[in-house]
Amino acid sequence: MPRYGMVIDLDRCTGCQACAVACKVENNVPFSSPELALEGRTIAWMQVLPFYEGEFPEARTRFMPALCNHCEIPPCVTICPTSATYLSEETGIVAQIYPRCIGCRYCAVACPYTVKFFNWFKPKWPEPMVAGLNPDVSVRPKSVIEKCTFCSHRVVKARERADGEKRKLKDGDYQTACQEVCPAKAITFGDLDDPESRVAALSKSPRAFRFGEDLGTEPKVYYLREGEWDVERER
Amino acid sequence: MGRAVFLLIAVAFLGAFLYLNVLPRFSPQPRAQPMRFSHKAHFEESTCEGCHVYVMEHGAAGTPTLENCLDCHDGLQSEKAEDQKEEEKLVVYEEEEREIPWAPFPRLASHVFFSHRRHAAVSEIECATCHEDIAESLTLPGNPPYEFTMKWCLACHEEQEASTDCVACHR
Amino acid sequence: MDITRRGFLSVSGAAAGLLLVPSEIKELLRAVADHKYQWPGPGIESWTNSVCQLCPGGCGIRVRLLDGWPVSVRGIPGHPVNKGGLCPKGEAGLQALYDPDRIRRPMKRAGERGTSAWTEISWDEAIALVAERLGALRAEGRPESVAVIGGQYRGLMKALWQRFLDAYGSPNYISMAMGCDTSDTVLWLTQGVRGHVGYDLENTNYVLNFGVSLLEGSWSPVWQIRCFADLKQGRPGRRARVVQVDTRFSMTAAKADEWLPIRQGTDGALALGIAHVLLRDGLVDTDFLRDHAFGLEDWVDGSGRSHEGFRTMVLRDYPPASVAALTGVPEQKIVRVAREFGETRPAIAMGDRGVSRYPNGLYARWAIHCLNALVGNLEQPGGVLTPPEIPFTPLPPLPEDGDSERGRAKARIDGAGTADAPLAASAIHRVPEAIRSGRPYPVEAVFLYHANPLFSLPAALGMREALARVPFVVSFSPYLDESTEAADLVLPDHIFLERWQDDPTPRNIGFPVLGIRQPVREPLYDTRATSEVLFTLAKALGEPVASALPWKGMETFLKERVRGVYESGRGELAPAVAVRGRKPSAEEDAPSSPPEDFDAFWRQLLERGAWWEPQYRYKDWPRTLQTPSGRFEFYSQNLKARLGDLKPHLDRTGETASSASPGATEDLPYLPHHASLGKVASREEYPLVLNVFRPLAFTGGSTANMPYLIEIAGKGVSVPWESWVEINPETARGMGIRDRDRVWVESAVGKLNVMARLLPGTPPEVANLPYGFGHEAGGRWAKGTGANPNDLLGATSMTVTGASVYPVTRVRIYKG
Repeated sequence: MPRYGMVIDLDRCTGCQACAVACKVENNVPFSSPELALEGRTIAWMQVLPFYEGEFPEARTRFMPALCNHCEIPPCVTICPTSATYLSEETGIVAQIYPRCIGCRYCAVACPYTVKFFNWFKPKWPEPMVAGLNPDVSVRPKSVIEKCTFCSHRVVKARERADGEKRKLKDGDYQTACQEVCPAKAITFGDLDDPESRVAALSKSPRAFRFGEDLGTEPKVYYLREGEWDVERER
Repeated sequence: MGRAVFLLIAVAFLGAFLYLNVLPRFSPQPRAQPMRFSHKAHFEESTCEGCHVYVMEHGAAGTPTLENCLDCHDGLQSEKAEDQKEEEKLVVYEEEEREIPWAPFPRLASHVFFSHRRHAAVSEIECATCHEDIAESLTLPGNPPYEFTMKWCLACHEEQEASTDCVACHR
Repeated sequence: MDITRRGFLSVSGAAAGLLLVPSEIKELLRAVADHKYQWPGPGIESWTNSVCQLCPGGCGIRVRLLDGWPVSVRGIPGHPVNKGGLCPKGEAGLQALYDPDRIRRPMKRAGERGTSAWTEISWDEAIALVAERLGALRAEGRPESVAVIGGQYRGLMKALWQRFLDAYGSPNYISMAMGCDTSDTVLWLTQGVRGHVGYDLENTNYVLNFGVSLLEGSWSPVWQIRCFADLKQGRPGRRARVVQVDTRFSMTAAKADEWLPIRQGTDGALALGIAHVLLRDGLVDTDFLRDHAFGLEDWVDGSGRSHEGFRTMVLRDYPPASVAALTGVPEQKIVRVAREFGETRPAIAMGDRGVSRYPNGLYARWAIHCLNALVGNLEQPGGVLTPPEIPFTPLPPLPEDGDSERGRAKARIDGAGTADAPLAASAIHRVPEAIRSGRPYPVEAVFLYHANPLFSLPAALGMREALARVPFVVSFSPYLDESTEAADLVLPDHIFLERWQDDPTPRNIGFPVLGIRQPVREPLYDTRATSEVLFTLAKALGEPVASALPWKGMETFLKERVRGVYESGRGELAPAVAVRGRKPSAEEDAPSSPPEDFDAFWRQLLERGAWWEPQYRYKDWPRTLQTPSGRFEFYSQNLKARLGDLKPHLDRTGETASSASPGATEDLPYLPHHASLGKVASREEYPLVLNVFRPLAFTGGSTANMPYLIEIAGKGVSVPWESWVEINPETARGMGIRDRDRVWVESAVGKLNVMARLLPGTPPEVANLPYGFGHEAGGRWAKGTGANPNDLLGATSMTVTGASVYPVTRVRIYKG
């Protein structure tokens, strides 16, 4: 069984936020409004967070794309009373099944990465914007939790295609929307257990680290540090 | 005591009112189809994908467009007068330059996703496995002819060792 | 029907019992739980390639359609510009198509100007109205009184407008550019080439970048971002160094290896300081300079007069210590960076509208370009290139007509090409005054194409009042923006996904590339491509305009032009890359065979998304050095010849030259130097220098109607749906301002209210404001979000060229 994971190269990333927008377009994430944004109710499965360091003229700003880490030991799954969120054995994706969600928001509290979002409002797409919604993904109703799914609808499509061509799924068949759009090619995605995959090689780079490693959640999203490195196996 | 009886009667009246006046409004109305279409007659001449042209390529099977129909119906071919009357409708649509107004059934719930290509082309499942004996029908159904439930889907998925992961169908 | 969790639950809960209850109850439950956003069924998927036009970047896009409706925009994997990537604008592109506030059919003003009361009319009526006006003006012998104001758009559309005006008899095609084409001017001065500067960013080892916003607002963001990432991690064992000279701690500065903060308008001085070190320490390419340079050393002309060369001037006037005092960059950093730049091969020194937006911009940009010549990085792999032109079929000659020739021979209303603006193609900042004064002649009609001057120009110029005096204003905008609201007639264009257009080499890119924008679906509304409107209008106007624009439509016109590309035999089509998500077409499957005829070429061009010419001929000196001397000119003879008969103008700039360099000679105007910035408000009154920057989310004023973009525009500083001003925390404390206070930013010409963000990277004397917010019109999302920094700015002429630029603007900030 594959175990999908992601590696984000922070040295390549330029903080452009194409991933953030691609994610919204792909997953029918509603845009917010000035009022909702002030209340912190903007939904962003993928967002680029800035970190400021130092003072003028030696200041640094770092940009970090943040999304669901798809933990191997996910606190949100343990706490969910209705199994609306679960760890998929087939893919390693932490998935969210909206009709099962009762909107208790325990998972949003349990998540150490704060990447679970509650639908405080009914999504509003004025005509004719509805025509542009992605029909591969549902529009979530009010009062359910949603989050990054590693574009799980795309794994279904990729499998359908591979099966149709009577072959096994290969590295690169299944791409997430954020990976596909990234102009800097900073995002690599694939099966961490496949020794041939690029994502597996990169995740073992000496540049690699994970968010909140000490929490014991075993995230499947790896980051590569910025700076002058020359790692042979990344070539 | 009197009050209880009164309440009971009131509830009964209300119930009767709802049952007789409100509920029927939700009674599934058969949809008016533009013509009496015989699956049986067509199935004798063609295959399923002959008319549902996208069934092997796309998620949707597709309903035949006027152009698809006219590919075969070159002039009136039916023998019986009553069939010819239906066939003439195609000529009228062509003259009026409009598409056939098929009345498709509401599809699955909005959080359920299905692909015809996956089932018919990739897994090579016979259409009749799910669509039963539609190929034998003489008229177009006005109501959905059968109900698909998750339990029913899962039974087959388990038997065929297909994916039973929730995200395979729900997103 | 409201859709709630409860509704969903009731359905899920009742699901088990569904078979037991009557069908009516099932229907009832369905009605309760039914989703408003329900698909009619799985759709039939198709893909169409086109080119994005939300900025001038030229990215190839493939649009996914379900049952004919676009549902997503992605990059074309084999496209030479973006290689499958997109920026947030391109990705959000469908919000431009589906904007609910788009103009849906032609409209005629129904009330007072600017009240936005409209009557919808038919296209026939709309075109008849324009034709009647234009016909009358031409009959009166005043065709020159018609002006077209054109914004930032792409390709041959400009040639079409120009041709329309030429045939009609007006010289007045005016571009909205503010200091944007200075790089082109510098290329002409130093190399004698009319074209754009390109950079071989893929292959360089060192980038000395003077304020080019590679990761935000510059010309082709996706290409730049991709190259930037590859400079760091794309080439095993080889990592380029990027040094960003910038007045703001921008995204580019943050991601660069080193940031050199610099005072506004002193980039030219820094470049000359670096040139000083290169020349002093002998870090120059002596072979190149010996064989291909002019004006580096002192020289004697044909009449025996001696002239000062670049070397003498730089060594005398720009020692690092005085440059450090002027620019604020420490002396040892100047020396170190100069040595790095001189010792690393290949290296690129780049600059663009960031440095040339100020009055001394021409010389600053020129000084930067000279650095490349000094170290011999012109026309080298990894250096600065001059992309060849795309071999389009030339347009047929214009029909001869006396009235038209007389009209277009008249002076332009903006003075471009005259002593007022001798080197500028356009000088938009002079237009309001020309309209007000009626000199050189009254303006009777203004056409706005891709232009929103009421938002994009400094408010202090008074464009609003000027436009109100023009008797007939026509806008071609698809959105009801500020300027369109002030028009008499609106002929709404398609948006880019609905029309035919070409998209040639974006600026900064070193290889020629051509994309074809094709409609991905039928237009949503009763709008019409402006190209088609021009063709119809030409017919309605009759001769000579009709036979000048004889084409049936834009597709025919484009095919005719592109035939030249095919027949030149140059270049190749973009590689076919198997695209996940669909089967490759037969033509994609057989990519190796060259197209057998033009029709096949055209089909494949649309299919693959681009034609390009990847093999660059380096060191092609006859093509790339076309100056009078046939060399790279540090001392520009082109400029001298151009200004020779315009002495009076030069005298006005003379004082600026002498004040900058005590030992100045009469040769100084023809050499790059640090020229004066003109009058700047006093530091006591206005302690901070205003620095307006462009976030990647906005292309000038034109993408603020897309909610996904408004949402992310301020994400980098954690400000949602709002304008902000960046201030240094120490400075802010001195002014009693705390983080996220509402503050007033006030310049000599205006003030606006924004949120203060105290960012540690902000230079102490600078206030940074984003450009793109602050619309008064343009749809429900653009309107009323944030503030427009143009309210604080003025406009002035660039020294020597006369092009439109901004003066250095100082502001004060206070709570309120």
